[in-house]
Amino acid sequence: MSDSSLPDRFTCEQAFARVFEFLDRELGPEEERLVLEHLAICEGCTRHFQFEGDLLKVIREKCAGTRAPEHLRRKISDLLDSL
Amino acid sequence: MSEIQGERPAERGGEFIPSASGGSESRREFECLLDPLLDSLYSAALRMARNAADAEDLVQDTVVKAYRFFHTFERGTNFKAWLFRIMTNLYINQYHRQSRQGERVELDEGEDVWIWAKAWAQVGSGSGYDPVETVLQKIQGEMIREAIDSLPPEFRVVVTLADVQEFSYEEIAQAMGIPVGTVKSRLFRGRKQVQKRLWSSLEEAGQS
Repeated sequence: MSDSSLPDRFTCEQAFARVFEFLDRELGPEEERLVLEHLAICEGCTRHFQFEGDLLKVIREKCAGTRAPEHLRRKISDLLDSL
Repeated sequence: MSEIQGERPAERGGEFIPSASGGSESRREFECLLDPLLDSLYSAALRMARNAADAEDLVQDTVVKAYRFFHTFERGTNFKAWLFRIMTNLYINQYHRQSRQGERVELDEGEDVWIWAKAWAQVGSGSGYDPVETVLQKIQGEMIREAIDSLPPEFRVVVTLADVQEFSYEEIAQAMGIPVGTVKSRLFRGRKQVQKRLWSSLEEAGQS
């Protein structure tokens, strides 16, 4: 499937506008190919993309692992009993 | 990404028909589905409500509503998306009720701040020293929570679902009842603002 609205190749700005969709693996195949082709020839963008990916990983790690408090679990169980 | 993309929660936009859900069997089934999701429901609620007491209320309201309307849940579809959709609706409605009385937060659309560019600008590109690894190590959980908390709610929910819950764009679109294109643009702008806040926290920490 080719998309006629897309250019033959991406500039740094066009690639970076898609950085999160690329990292989240949410780009369509055509755009993903164009980003990959740009990264293959642009070291600056490759390192910048790498950093954005690392930063998202840090955010996920630091925010993960919050547990629902025990008293909330008990309250919910009581609530369900009362319904 | 997700094994459940393309499906739609059975419940839409809070259009419920109230009725009692009964039977110990459906109670057991409900609890089996709910139990593994409770931690992630609570941590998402905490980022939405921004304090433990309100987060607990939000989770309880969500569970009660979900249980009442469990009979409308289409078996075999994505229970997580269905449950989070209920919570997102409750939260957004609640927020709009409150914001009519109080302040409204807007997204800070001023100067763009990308940490990568700022970190390199600080050391100078010819220095041969790579500053970004150090920057990543300095980022604390508290800074991230503050940065996400500073977002306007419609951006905070999208960033929370993507970065804390690892929802796909399609799941976020379902949970919020918005088009995928809106998810993309809110996520881009929301993450950009998170970086801006993180960078100012990093600068403050560096100066103290």
